[in-house]
Amino acid sequence: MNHTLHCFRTIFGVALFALIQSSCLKQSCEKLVPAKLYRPVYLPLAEIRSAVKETGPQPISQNGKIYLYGNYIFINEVGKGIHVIDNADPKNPNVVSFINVPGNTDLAMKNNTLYADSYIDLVAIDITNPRQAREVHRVNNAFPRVVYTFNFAQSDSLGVITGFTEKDTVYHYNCNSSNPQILDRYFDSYSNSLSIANSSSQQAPQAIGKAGSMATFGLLNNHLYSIAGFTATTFNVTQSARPQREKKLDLRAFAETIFPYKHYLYMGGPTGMAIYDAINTDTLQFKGIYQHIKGCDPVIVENDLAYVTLRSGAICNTNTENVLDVLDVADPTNPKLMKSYGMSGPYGLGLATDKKLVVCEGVNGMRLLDAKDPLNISTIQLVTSVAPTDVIHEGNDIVLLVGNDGLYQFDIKDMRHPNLLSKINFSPKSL
Amino acid sequence: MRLRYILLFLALAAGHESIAQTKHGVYGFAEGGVSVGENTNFIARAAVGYRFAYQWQVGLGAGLNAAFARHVPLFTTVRYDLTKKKSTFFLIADGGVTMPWLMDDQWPDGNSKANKQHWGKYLQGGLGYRLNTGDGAAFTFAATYMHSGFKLEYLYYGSSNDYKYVFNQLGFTVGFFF
Repeated sequence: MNHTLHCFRTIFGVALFALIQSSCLKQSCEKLVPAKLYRPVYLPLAEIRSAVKETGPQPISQNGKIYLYGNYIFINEVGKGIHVIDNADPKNPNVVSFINVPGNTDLAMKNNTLYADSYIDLVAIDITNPRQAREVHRVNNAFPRVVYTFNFAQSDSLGVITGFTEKDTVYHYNCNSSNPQILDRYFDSYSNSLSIANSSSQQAPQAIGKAGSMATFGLLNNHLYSIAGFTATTFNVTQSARPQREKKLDLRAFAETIFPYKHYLYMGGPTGMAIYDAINTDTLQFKGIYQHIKGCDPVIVENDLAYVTLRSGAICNTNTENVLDVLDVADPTNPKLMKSYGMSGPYGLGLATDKKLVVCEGVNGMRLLDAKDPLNISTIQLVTSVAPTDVIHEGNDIVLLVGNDGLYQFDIKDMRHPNLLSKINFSPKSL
Repeated sequence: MRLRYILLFLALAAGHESIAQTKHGVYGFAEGGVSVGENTNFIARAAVGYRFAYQWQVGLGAGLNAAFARHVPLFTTVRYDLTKKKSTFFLIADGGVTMPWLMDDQWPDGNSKANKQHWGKYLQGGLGYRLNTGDGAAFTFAATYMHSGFKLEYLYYGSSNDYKYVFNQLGFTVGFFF
């Protein structure tokens, strides 16, 4: 019996000692935070810089920026390249080629040279024969390097970030640690989209071409302006085929769209429309701003009148009204609201010289308005069979519309009875 | 120091001899003591059950663990006497669930009450000694290892943050068996 007890005491003592010394006696409280982990996907710079080439016609899978140049329509497929459409006959447009431009978001043209962004570079492409487009010049590192959340950035060794892989994860934190810094490992790709853009003027000579009102590249007086947020990058395009990077300029207001007119640049942004004087190419002189609560607002200008659309909704993160504002910009330092008109959900807009105003209302259709009297603009027709987001006028009577499902051309000579001339189908995309 | 006294008491108790137990019948016990781990706190448990085949006791019990996040174990208990004597060592094996019962100042996340409380598991094993006091009653002394845990859930705009509690403790209890 004594031997048994001795054994018990020994075993018990050893076990007790081991347990007290070991991690078997841990008490813990862990905070479990579900999160999504985003890891950047890199594309080497060498691969990007050797990829620009004409590849033959491709199906258009999503709408992007549109550009009209002579008898050709150019539509960018965001991130991939540019479709070229022969539009000599608006009733029978024909997709003739696709120019592969990785990371492309916008475009502009001058004297048979197409300027396109390719991630961090600006590429000049000779389109004398659009079916045999070829890169003629490249401005390396033309655009500000995009720094993503938590200092993810493209680099010379890894390349540019082309996307993010997403993975669900759960982070574990000690409950006693105050305010766990979960964000140091949480990457939100939603706010990390690369947006480098472009635009051009409806008043520009034909050698330049026309961009939609949503453009972020703008051509004015031998200078190409590219806006991205609070920054404008300028290029000298006096020699069309050899653009030279000039400056990076700071903007007073966040800019999403640009519209050059006379020697001014009108920039639409989430908080208002800002006007800059570009007569001095060394700088952009801020002249004035028309501020509103918040909204998405492309802008066009014609004869001291600016037309701005404001759209509410999830994408714009606003609750503002859907309106068309007409502004008096005769004094650029003091743009004045003349009148607001209720809209359904306006995107881009375009104005013909005979004051036919077209407002793209997204899923609500194409709104045709008579804008002869800016104080009495009236809707002539609302075409609900289309869902356009941007528009370019081809003269006074034909409009080119890009929407979620295709590229439309309408004859609007009789605005009460617009006539669909043609449609090139896209694969569906939600607006 | 406290641990040393407990070990000494158990050692002394081990030398006590007594007569054989009853064959079967209803039994109960209530115990209280301390748990030793990263923190030391009060614990208590009680159970009722049925005794059979001289050495086996099976019952249902509830307890209280006043840890830094108070909780209540609900468990099935099985005890096996190592001998048929009235005073004897016995083995303990408990299993069940742990129900969170936090005090107001124990809630995490700004001391706000969790949106959901999830019960967790409760496991306990150990060794005890029953010291007969006559008429089938006895004092008990037990040393056990306990593993338990539970989870609290806070909801945020369609997502949730969970707080997972785990307790690994040694328990030393003194109780009364009847």
